[in-house]
Amino acid sequence: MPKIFVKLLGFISVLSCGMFLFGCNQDGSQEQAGDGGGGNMVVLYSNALTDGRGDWIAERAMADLGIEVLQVQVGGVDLANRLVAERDNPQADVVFGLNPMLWWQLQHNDIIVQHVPPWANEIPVGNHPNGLFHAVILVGNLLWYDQNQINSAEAPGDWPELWQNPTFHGRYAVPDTLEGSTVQMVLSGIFNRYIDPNGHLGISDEGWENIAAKFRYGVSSNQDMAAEIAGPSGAVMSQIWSHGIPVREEQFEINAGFVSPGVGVPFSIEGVALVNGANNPDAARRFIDWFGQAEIMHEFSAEFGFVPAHPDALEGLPPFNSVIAGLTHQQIDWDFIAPRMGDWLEHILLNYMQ
Amino acid sequence: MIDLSDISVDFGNFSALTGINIEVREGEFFTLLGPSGCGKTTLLRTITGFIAPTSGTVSVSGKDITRLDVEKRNIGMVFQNYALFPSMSVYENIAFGLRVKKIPKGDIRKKIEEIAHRVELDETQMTRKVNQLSGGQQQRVAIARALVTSPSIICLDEPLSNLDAKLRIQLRNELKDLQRKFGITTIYVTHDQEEALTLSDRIAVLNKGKIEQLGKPNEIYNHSETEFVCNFIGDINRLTPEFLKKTDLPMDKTTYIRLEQLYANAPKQNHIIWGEAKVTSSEYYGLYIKYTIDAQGTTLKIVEKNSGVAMYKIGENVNLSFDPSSLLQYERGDQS
Amino acid sequence: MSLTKKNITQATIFTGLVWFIVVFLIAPNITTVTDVFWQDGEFTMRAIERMRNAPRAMQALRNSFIIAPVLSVTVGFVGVTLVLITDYFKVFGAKILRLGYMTTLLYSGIVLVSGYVFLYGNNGFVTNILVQIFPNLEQDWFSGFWAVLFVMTFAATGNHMIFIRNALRSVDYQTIEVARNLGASSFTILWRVVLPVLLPSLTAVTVFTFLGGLSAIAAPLLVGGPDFRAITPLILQLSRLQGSRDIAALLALILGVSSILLIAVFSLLEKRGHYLSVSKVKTDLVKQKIRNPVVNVFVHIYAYVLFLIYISPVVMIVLFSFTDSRTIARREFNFSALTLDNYIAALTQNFSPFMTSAIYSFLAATGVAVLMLLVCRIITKHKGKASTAIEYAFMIPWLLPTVLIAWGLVATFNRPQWFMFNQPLANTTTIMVLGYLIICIPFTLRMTRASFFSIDDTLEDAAKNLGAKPMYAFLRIIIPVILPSVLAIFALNFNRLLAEFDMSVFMYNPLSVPLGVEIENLTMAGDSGGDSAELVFVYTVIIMAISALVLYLVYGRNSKIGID
Repeated sequence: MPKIFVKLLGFISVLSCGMFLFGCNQDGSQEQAGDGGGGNMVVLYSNALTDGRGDWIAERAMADLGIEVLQVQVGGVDLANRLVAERDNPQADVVFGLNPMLWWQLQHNDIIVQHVPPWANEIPVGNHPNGLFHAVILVGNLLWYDQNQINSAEAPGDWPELWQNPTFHGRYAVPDTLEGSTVQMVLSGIFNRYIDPNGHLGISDEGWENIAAKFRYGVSSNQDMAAEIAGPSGAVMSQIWSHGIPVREEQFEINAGFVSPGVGVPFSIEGVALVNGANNPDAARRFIDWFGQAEIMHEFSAEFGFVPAHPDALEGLPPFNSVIAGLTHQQIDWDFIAPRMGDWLEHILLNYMQ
Repeated sequence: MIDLSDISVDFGNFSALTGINIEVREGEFFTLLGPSGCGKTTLLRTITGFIAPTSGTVSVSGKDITRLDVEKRNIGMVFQNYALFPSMSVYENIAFGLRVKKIPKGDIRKKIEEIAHRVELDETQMTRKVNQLSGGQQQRVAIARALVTSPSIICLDEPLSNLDAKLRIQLRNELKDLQRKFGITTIYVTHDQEEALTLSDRIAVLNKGKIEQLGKPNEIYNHSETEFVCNFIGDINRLTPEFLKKTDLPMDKTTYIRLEQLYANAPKQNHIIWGEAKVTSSEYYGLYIKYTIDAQGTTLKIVEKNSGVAMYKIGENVNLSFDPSSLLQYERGDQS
Repeated sequence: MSLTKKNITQATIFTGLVWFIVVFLIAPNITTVTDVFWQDGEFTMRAIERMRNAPRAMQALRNSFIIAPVLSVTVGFVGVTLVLITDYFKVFGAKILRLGYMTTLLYSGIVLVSGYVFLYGNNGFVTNILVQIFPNLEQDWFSGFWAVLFVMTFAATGNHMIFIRNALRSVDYQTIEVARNLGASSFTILWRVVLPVLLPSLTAVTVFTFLGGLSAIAAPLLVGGPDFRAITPLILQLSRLQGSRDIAALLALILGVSSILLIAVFSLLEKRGHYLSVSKVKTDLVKQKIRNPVVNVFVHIYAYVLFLIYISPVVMIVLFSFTDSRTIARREFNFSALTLDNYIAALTQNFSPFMTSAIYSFLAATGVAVLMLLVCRIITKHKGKASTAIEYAFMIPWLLPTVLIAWGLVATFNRPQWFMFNQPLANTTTIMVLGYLIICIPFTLRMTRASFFSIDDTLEDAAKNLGAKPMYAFLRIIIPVILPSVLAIFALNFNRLLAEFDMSVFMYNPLSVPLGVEIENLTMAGDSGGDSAELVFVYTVIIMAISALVLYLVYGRNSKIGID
């Protein structure tokens, strides 16, 4: 019997060593391309390349610019952490996606560097004042509900009603993790209402009571919010990011309604930025200049159902996109919130999460 | 052949062996005998190279091998538990040493067939896994494995312990036969004095890391040089001062006599006639019978050949006599 | 000591090990720990204060320390009984039962617990049946401590099915016969003769049960409910927040240090009580008939109830992998909803992540097996302070959560370091394999060490005596004896690494995306592609199939090879 093992192991070893060498060769060719400095390659770090978007970008960039795009797709929080860990020897050239808090984190750690693309001044909202990053996509972070289970008249008008009004207790879902961009954006919108420099961690006691209540009376969920609403848990409302609505309505037979609070909707900015110390800075700049243009953004948004940050790119997109684009943006004091968000999330994790 | 010169082994503060000097002759069956913890296995492992002596030298045929690696010594060994390789068949076990020596395949086969024949392992047994063998077969595999590489010496470490009495005796005989057949220098470790006496050409009796006596079985038995040896080997009567009072033998020495040297109702010319003693019990051994005798307060044992009928009845008085030259006498305090 | 060739070799190996420990285990973690605990140029223990002011976190920590010992007992009991059912007693259908009991070797984590939730959770199959019988039963009855204990007890017996079974084969049947001959009852034989032989393996496996309890994630998250939060999910989330990594590291250190203390205690126990078979002529175990008919019926019922408990979550997962996310969300299963679309979608995806992960996992699992064989060899051959230090150094990966280890590796090796011969390792295949290897070290070391205890020292002496060099003796004699265990450990490591995520996400190379990252990206909730819970199930089923194949190849067929 052992002989069989030995043969088997030998076979697998040879096979995998072959594959390994093959893999190394691939790596090698990549490095050569990088070292060659021909400016034909860009390593793109992003949290927004799923569902074929990365491949779409790679194909178009190759066709339009002759640039080969290597994609690293990682969730937002992990992406930022990875960028920080690699700070002494950056592997990325361009970062795309994220949200205001993560952008702040990158900026704070000197991960990104100024590059002002030609289309920058056409973007009305979301650009970094010093040109570190520029907005390409807008994401509304909404409170939505299933009209088959609760009609618009009964639905709340703003987030705090969920926990302040007992009729909604146990009827809204809360994700069991704070890692997602949407959950942090929604929290930002709530924290922003209770800023108190003298309060605990800069938030008034009333603010913390509200946050505590939000988690206490919500249904903790580990699945897709739409699945939770469609499922048997009793939750009929939850947070959602705007471009996630259409496909989920169909997928879960949900008749979606969403709330437009008086203070406005917290919008995330998915931006694009040049990495500090990028290996391929020239190609990276060309890529950024190309990517944020109105035509490309229009095609990209049309293909994947986004709301582009560039006003010219909105024309001709489905009405839903215009509705989202037309929502009032909640004014959020990012200079106050972004640096403190980590502490707040920790405070929630340690004290309030169900 | 093997020359152990002034071997000492220390384990930390503990001296396992001190000042061992032994010369084993070519073709000899040499036994290291002693109670557990006496250092006999340590000495064997020093010869095979598992233990490096603290001082002294081990030479084989005049060549100093004290610092030679185990695997280069060419000294065969049979372990107490045989240490057969469980992952290999009998054949592979025996072939192991040959393969290590990179002997051509054809020669290996030939040598194994030959040795298998000599230790009487048949073709079907050779293909079995070792755990499918009986104790006797396992021992033969262990011996074949040790011998097939034609070592100059073979060491056996209590190969018969943990076996039942009958199998033990059977294997003991097989072992002796094999040794004769191969004519190989053998060093044998045991705590069983009977095994030592029956198998050995010469015996070294060890106690507390030192050699008590080195000699032929009959020398060890009949002329035990130390009180320890005489007590360790065979059954013995200790003669008390009360017993000796009736004779004119010196009383300041510890005196012993072997059971078979004490005679009942059979005085000989050169005997000291001690006088009447009472038979108190008997033990029947088949070949012989052992009687316990009360000699006016001193309990003694004697043996008589079994002639089919009981020689003495319990309560019967017998006349004791012995040859004074057969006494073993030691200075007091000799027993260490 | 003169400078012989042997000494030089030993010194080289020793230096190599020390280098590995310093470079890959100590240096990166020092990077992490200093980065985490030094803020603005000074050492801060603010984390302790923050933690102590968080009653819920403290409660979670307590919960983890409650579930771990309780679990050790329940898993130990169930695990041993499983092995007795399949390999010790004559139980009808033992082979089928064994397959059922071994299913937990194939899947774990969120998906496994999901399987249980489909059955016992809200609107679950069993729940719906129970509600009909007991109308007062709450739909979400399956929640809290007991639910976590239930799920984890049955989820954690996989190691028992491998290592305790191995140990059972080393029981000398003669000892059982002797005991019976001396008038011992079946129970006494089991308790006094068989169990002591199983004890070393049981000890080793129990350590992992305990650690599994401490580091439980999925079960407390899914069925713990608000009343039973555990600490590890919290640590995981905290470790991803830049500003909270100190508290995550602190909590992880608390768990890690207690794990290592536990190991130290168990190592002592292991030294005291390991029983080698001393008989020269060992006979193989013969299955025992249960003579008392009542007990026999009871054992059969117990065996088949357990079988149902084990097999039904797997059935759920397989069934639901053929449905869509709406069906999964609503838990309304019907046969008309079955479709092959998911599998077509999954299998027409780029297949290279499977290959990538298989290669990485193979290399890491092989590497760690070889390295730990070497380490175990050294620590069993040369007992002393140095080898004890080496042994404990290799448990360092237990001190920090994977995310922080990954962070340390990347932060340390993405620039040239003199101790790494000035080779930056960022984004190379090497660092991925290293990362995978490092997280497998503690488990591999423990289990390999346990199997080393079963080796008879004289085997190696015999080989040397026959002229084999130490290395040859080790390879030809020792390795074959422990090969079944080593291969089992290899298979478990391989399977565990196949869909690894926490380490991969930090260091994968864009040209070779590993499976864990690929699955996460394909199934990530948060994009316009909609929910794809069904794909998670599909991938789980595919990975289960691969894992089963791996286990079968390296372990399943050797029903006769035991450890003697």
